[in-house]
Amino acid sequence: MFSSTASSISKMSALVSGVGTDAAIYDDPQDADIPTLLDSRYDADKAQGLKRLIALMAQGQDVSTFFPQVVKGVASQSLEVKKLVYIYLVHYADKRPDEALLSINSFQRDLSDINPLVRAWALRAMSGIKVRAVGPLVIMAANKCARDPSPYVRRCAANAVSKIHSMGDEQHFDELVQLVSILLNDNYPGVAGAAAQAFISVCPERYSLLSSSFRKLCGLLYEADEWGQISLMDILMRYIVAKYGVVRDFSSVNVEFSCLQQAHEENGGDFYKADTRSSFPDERWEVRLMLSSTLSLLRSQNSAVVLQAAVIHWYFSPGNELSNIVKPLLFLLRSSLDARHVVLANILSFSKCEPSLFEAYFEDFFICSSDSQAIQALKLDILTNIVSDLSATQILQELEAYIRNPNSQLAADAVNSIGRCALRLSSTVAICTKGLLKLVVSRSSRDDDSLHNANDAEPKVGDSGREQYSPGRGRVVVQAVSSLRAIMQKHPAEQDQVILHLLRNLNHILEPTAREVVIWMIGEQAIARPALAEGIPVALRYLAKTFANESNGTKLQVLNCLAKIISSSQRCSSLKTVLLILQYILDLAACDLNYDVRDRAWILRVLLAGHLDAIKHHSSYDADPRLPEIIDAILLNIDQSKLDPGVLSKAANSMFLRQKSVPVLPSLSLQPSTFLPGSMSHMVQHKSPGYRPLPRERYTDLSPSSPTLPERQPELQSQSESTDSGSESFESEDDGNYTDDDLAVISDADGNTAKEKADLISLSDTELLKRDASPEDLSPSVDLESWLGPEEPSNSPEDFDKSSNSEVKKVLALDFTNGDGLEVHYGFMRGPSIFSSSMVCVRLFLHNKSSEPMHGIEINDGETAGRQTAFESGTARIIPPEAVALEPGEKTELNAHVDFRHNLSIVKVCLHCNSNKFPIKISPEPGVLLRPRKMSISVFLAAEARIAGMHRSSRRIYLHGISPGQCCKRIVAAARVSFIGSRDAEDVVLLFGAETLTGSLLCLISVALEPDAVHGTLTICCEDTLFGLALLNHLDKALTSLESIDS
Amino acid sequence: MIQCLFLLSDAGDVILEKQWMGKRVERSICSWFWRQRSEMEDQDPPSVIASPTHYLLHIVREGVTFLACTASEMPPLLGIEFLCKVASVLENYLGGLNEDILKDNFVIVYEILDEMMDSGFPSTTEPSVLKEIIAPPNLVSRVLSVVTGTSSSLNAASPLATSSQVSWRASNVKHSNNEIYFDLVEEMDAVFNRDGFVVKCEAYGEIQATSRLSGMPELSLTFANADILHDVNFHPCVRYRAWEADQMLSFIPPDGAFKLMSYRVKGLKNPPLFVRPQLSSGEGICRVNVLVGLRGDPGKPVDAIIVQLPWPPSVVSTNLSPSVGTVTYSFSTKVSTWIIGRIPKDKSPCLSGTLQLEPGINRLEEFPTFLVGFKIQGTAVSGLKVDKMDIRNVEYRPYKGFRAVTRAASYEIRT
Repeated sequence: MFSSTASSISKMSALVSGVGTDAAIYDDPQDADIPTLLDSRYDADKAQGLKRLIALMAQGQDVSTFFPQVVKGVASQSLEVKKLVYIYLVHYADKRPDEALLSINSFQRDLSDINPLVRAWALRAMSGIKVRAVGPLVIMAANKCARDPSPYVRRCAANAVSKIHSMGDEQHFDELVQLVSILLNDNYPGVAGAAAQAFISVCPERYSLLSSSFRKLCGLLYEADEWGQISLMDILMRYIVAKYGVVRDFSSVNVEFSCLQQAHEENGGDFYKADTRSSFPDERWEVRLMLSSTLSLLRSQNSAVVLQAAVIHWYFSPGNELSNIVKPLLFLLRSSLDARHVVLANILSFSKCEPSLFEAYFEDFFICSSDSQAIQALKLDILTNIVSDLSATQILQELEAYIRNPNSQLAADAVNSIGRCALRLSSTVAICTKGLLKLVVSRSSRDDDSLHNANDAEPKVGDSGREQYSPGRGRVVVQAVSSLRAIMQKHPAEQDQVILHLLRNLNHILEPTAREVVIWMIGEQAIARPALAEGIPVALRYLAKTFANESNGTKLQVLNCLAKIISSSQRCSSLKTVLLILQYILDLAACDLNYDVRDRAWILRVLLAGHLDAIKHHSSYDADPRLPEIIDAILLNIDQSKLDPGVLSKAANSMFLRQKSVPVLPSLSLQPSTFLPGSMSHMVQHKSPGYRPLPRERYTDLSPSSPTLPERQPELQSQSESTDSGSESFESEDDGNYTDDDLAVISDADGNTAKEKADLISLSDTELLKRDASPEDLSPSVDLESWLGPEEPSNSPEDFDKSSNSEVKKVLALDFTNGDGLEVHYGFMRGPSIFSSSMVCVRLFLHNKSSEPMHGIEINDGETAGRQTAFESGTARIIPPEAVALEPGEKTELNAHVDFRHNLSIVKVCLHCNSNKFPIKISPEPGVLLRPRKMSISVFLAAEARIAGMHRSSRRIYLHGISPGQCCKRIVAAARVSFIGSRDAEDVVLLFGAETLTGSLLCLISVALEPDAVHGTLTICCEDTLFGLALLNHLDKALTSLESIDS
Repeated sequence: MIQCLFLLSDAGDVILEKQWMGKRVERSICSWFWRQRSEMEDQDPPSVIASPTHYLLHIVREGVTFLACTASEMPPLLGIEFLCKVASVLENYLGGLNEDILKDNFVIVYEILDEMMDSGFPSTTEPSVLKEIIAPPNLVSRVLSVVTGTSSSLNAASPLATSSQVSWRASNVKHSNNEIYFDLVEEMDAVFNRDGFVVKCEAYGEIQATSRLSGMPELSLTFANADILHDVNFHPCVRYRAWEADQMLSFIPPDGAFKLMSYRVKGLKNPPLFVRPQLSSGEGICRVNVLVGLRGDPGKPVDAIIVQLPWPPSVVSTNLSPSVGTVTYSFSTKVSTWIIGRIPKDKSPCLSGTLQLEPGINRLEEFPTFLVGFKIQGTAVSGLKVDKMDIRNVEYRPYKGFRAVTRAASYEIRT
């Protein structure tokens, strides 16, 4: 080592930079000639050169051009040079595999080195070279290393196995499985851990490998390193699930039916104890063994290990032992601060199913000021899940304290949580209601005294009033009113006081959204208790005064409220007042600046004509002589002869007097999901690539197939259904504020609808999935009909059928000048191919423009002569049409069937005609590679929620003001998709479903049209990201082009 | 599995990148991440984020962001724990963690990262084992490298510790002075509500050990009052059975510094400090009066007392004067910091003054939470006591040392 041959350059640079650090190299890697250094005879120089390369790598530059020179360094005897070379090689091996081959010989020599480090590194570098040709060599090397005396090398061999497998060479699969099996049986815990990881990547379903070594692996578990423990627990857990099923699951709150559970019930839960006796009468000792050997891991310092162990106990431990996981999980919140977010998200899932587990530990979920917003939301959600009669007082006190917090988001979330606590625990309803009311009043009336006392008659509700409002404050009030509404709807008994209170304070509630909710509640109140409605005319008079200054949303609510009162309380004593106010407000609204308000006023005028007519003709009224007069004034511009009062009043009743379902206050953080706890998918709420659900247990087929519905949330379940049907059907609710020729849109009182719905849908996921897979949905026979759902009344399927088949978009494939007079166009047919559901029918339009007859026109791949029944071109498979002949001037159409195999690249075929060859290129459109897929809106939404992240692409597009109907037509014409329906959010959203021809990947398209109809957002969810993007471009073009089919 | 790691400086620049898998991840992901971060304003984004192309996991240590990317399913906690491990190993190796230190030692950092992960799955992460493969930089080796021109940080041809029976300890450790130190480091979390009552008060503690013992020592540590421990977790070297049976820590220690156990004691009754805030507001002004004092006698002096008063956004300016210590006010964050130090015998610290509220706001509607910091040397506030420590399986009698310190972690006063 103490050679005095060091080059002076390195000495100098090291001296200048301060003693021996590499700072100078990092700052200026290229101040020396790197190739010269690399080619030097001296190891020190080589190391210098390599360090400079690594510095460049660290800075993100591509230095792969030095590959040939670096590879030579492998032969060096210096450990440091070797290590640096290996770092370089691992970084670039896949980029320049051919040059990496040069180093194979040196690696093989190194595999026999006496230093285990060198052996391991050689294998690591070798397995990094992704060239098929070296596959056998690498496997040989891995085989050798798997039997190495050094555990370090054996572990490297285990890691190499997954790398070799990722090369995708199926040829060596059996050898790899063999290797995995050897390594799993290794006595050294560290090796077994790495082998478990190899097992996961190579053959995750090969449970037979585990059955023999199960007991041993459980024994090694505690001694393995923390990373190995995670992989080992994963494979052991899946093995047990495959063998016995689980005790507890997320898909239903109740315990799922499985053989484990069954045995549980038969033995009164004590079959586990069987194992404490000397013999195992039952084969389920494995479950017991796994539970007992993972118990100690709950005390690990590594949060990932604790969580994985907790997941195992969650799935398998009998009810009374489940509490083992609680304290370790909660301790993670303090001991591993970086893991808090993930741990809380998992606790949320656990607590949703088993609130009692965490009930006693509510203090751990109190918020401290260092918590980030995401963590606060999770903690509040957990608190609302676990609140019980014992803890309610303390939790509510704590939530009250958060309302005082300067963080307005936290304050609003706390108010939301109070509402949810009340919905969950009916014993807290009274206190929550009182608190919320106090909050609304106190928060709203701040500064009002000074501000509005002067002109109390006309409180400013407009902009001037709102300026005094900090946005955070308003949020709290809005949230409080929404919470109150939810509580009231669930517990109508409490309503009287609350409504009176709110009514009295209406002039102090300035936040428009909050006003909307209160007015909505007044309307509902009027329906429910007409007798109590004395206060209502007062409120209406007040609202009539302020109407002009209200926000648009509030105006709509005022109109709705009036409509409800008219429809319900015809016998109201103050009918005259109400009618006068109605007339006044309708007149005001008819001149409003906002077209929605104007429209609503006109619609109501017509709709209410029925009721008004009835009032007018009701003889038993102590007829105020002015009543008919007022009514006539209201109905002034309406031609009553064309209206049928009976039908109208029925329609009005069905809209305004419907039973409203209790809204679900949206949870603040994650939606409940059925993804495996502890997984990435569970965190990001969509299925991430490579996610593997728990295996299906062996006995599933024997157990009843219908999953039991969750008992604790029956009302949620039924509600979700009613909401679904509500949005699919075309009955417009009173709150609807948008109608169009083709589409009826429904919106709810507050803007949370979409979120609430998503919430509901995921709850009933299991049921939807079942529907999802029904066979008739998949069969291509429903194809033609499914382009438009029956929900689309104005566009009958025939319209589309015609337009789609007669107006196939033709693309020129061969010009007659190039084709000796033969002109060829092609177009893609809509229907499924007769040969295979994965094929597309391509219609060729031939036209003989020459003066000579043509014969023997046929298509093949151009290489083999003569007729072919089917051939391949590139990735595509083509079934060509029969040969034809054409007289001069004659036209004909031929059908070729092409399986593009989900590839958008151009397909080249060869057209033969009069023994000439003409190349023809067919470029598939993304829209063609789809097959329409019908589903219900709820299924669509559930699926859409699953496909997220990188699988979702969206773009804002310019629509030239086309109507939703046209938009729908254009999309259906541009791609083979099925129209599913429309959904209301703030915008109209059109939904289309399809799946890819090959692989049947779901492809979900939604177009959100903004109210101005000028812009919209096109979103595509497809598990093939690239294809999704191509489709996005395609549809964007179809939607935005001016000369589309319908114009 | 983890595809790559980026180390980002506090300005968002990439200090270095390490790719473990064949599929390279472009650097542009870092700027995406940084944009997300800046959109969150003062908050750190969640530790797991789904970007359009990758799932991103990150932790922040000493201003350096450790950002890992993966495109496929993996346990997110595995990634986060790995990042924590990387951070602690690097800190341990380099004696600190910041942009300059990382750049100075980037070759060692690369070597370590290459050892710690193989093909996207964590490999050798135990610091004592890593040190046998890659020698930590120290002045001697640096001087040697200048003199000789060789600068190898790799230990040549050393038999790997992994061949010993316990994976965390080599079989041939030798020290001239045999010694072992235990530090009880406790952090106190407490929340007081606005009436001054304790909402929650608990202590989180860690026993940090530094072992310089030769051979294969068998240690056992017992506590006088182990029953007060509400939660515990252990270093992998601790035998869980012994703890379950006798509440005794029995272990073969790794060489060097390690975290033997951490624990939590809940429901403490004696928080050492009280803070009594009084806020009364009206007519656009808020009068403030904050009293600080000792509650009971913690036994040892309470040092480094500091009170942070983060004011709500509606406060425009402050005019506060303390009877003891100094107050500084930061306009950008609207936080007043009152540094008291040690409470003098004759005077009780009191902070008084006024806050100016935004025009148009009469009364304070949002109430701040004050944060208190302090330190007590020489005592563990939980009351945990080490009974005795025995050593077996070795000839020598080592030097044993115990220390304790308590700090305030999240000591909050609601107003």
